[in-house]
Amino acid sequence: MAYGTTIALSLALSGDNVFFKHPRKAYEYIFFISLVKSSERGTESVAWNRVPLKEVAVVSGKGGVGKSSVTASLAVLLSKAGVRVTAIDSDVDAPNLSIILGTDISYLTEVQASEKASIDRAKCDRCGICVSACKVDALLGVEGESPRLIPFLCEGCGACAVVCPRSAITIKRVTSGRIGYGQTAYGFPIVSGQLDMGESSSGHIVTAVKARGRIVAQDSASDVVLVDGPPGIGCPVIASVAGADYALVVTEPTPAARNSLDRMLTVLAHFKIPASVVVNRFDLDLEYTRKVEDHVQAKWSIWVAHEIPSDESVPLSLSKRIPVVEFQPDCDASKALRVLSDHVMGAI
Amino acid sequence: MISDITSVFNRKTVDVPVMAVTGGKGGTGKTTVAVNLAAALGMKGYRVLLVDADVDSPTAAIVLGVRPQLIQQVEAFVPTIVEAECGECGKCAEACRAHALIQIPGRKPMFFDDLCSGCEACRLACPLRAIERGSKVIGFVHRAVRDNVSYIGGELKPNETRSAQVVAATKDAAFSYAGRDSCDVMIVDTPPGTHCNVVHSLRAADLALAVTEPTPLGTYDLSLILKLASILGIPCKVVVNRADMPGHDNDAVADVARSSKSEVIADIPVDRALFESYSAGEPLVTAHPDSLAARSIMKLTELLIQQLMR
Repeated sequence: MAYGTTIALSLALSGDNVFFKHPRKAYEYIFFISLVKSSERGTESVAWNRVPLKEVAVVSGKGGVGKSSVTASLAVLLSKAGVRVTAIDSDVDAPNLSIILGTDISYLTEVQASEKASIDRAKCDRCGICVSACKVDALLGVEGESPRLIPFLCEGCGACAVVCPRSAITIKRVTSGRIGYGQTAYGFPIVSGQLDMGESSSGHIVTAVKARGRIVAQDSASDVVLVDGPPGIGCPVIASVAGADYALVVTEPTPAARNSLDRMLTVLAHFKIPASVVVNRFDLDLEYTRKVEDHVQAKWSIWVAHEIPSDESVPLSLSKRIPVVEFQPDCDASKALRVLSDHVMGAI
Repeated sequence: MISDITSVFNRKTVDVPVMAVTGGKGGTGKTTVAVNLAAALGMKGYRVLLVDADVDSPTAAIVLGVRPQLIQQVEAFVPTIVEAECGECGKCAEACRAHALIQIPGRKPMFFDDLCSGCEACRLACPLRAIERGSKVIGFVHRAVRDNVSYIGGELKPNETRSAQVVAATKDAAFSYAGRDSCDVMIVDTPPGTHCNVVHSLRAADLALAVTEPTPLGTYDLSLILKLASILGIPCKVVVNRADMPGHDNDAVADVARSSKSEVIADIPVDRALFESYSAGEPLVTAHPDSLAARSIMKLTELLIQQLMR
């Protein structure tokens, strides 16, 4: 920890507010701090060295547009082309990548990424100061008793512990998720995370899962890490794209998906992560697909090079737990995915 | 004790029936179901408040076909350090568990806005009261009206991470409107997933509908959201969307529902009309009331009126 803090401080002091001028650097700092934090918590001991391999994040903004299906097929195709791949499922709320790959994951490592307040009832004199200090209403004042904690709301910020005049509150680490590992039938490893129900620290678990994934990638001498990200644009998504060299943004030709695509690209631009856009099920609405592509080119200067058609083989392959490029290598969707895979190989 | 906690957690500020539409997996049709239920209830004469709590990717307004107006900015605490008062003691940095404040001996603390959770522990810890309440905008709340359906939607400002706080602010705004406009029912469209923003979206719901699809992915994610709902003490029923899609396994969905003491209460078939109305920004039940999918949604509406609105 002392070592980590020293580096963090020297980083922070190198140049005047360098982080505010360079958001990407700022995020690397944040990512670094969370690593320091997780090693402090004794869950992951990670040395700070940027892995000299390429990291590609698959994200979308809107859910259900085909992130995991695209990631699974891409991983299989790259692996077959001789690229050493490590797949990471960072959608810890709904980890689906291993299901599509037909791989069983053994969840071995617990992650203590959450902290929660714990009240020592013997020391508590029921003054209620903590209840009013809690901004998320996680402490419930009870007449004549010590306050009660509503665990789903407590974020472990420690404000209650700061104000308690009798030092009756300590902030304790709690297990909030698990990290698992599996070896796919296609010759590459997968690292997956799972949030415990009722816990809230997805972002921290994502960071821990990615740290573990990078170690696996190094150990297996991987060339590329493929990260299957969660939907949305909030904290777990930002943790998923942190440190990525490149992002694939999957979308579909609907106004709702276009809106989410724009929000996702705003975030990626902020963190200066280069992005490509993939329009999935583009043939559902050809006219709108053109609209999306023109818009993305005009607003973001991104040329949409990839379109995947809707194809009955995709849901069928899902039900069989085989990536579509293996299930039906000659179907239209598989052909489009092979073009995409060649493109990704070029980009890395 | 446990039920005690969930009843406090689910306490409402305004007495209105609340139904949350959730699902675990993304893209299963949560927004489609929420918007169409709202429209269907509106057609039957109920005053409905539709709340978009998917603040990361808010799309309910697009699907409902309304252009919402900004009614509120969601602001969060950030510390403002009064340097003249600061004694450089480091207590604030010590109190900040998010590492958003760093104190180097002999210097004023440095603040990293991206890491701040807005908890105010630093301000409370400062013995010299050198930290004042500052604020920054982390999101927005919008409002629109279409016939009997009022819409309140939250939006996370891109590059911000505090989704749950925006959800909480959106729900607060929704409850105050529900009270003012004496709404008959509130329908909350939740984000995908199971973490903090979903927990806040489900809060205070009398009933949650988990919309899923009959694939191994939908089934697995359904098992997670049913578990979350039961921990939060919220009854949850299952709606299977695209029930007849290629490779569907509806028995697996029913098994998962049963093992969580829930049940499947509606099947919505694959229907091109659904996609068209979704793209056109017009609820299916008003655009194509005779389509197969619209009929199954109307049937579901009747069922929910019986269960929720007595």
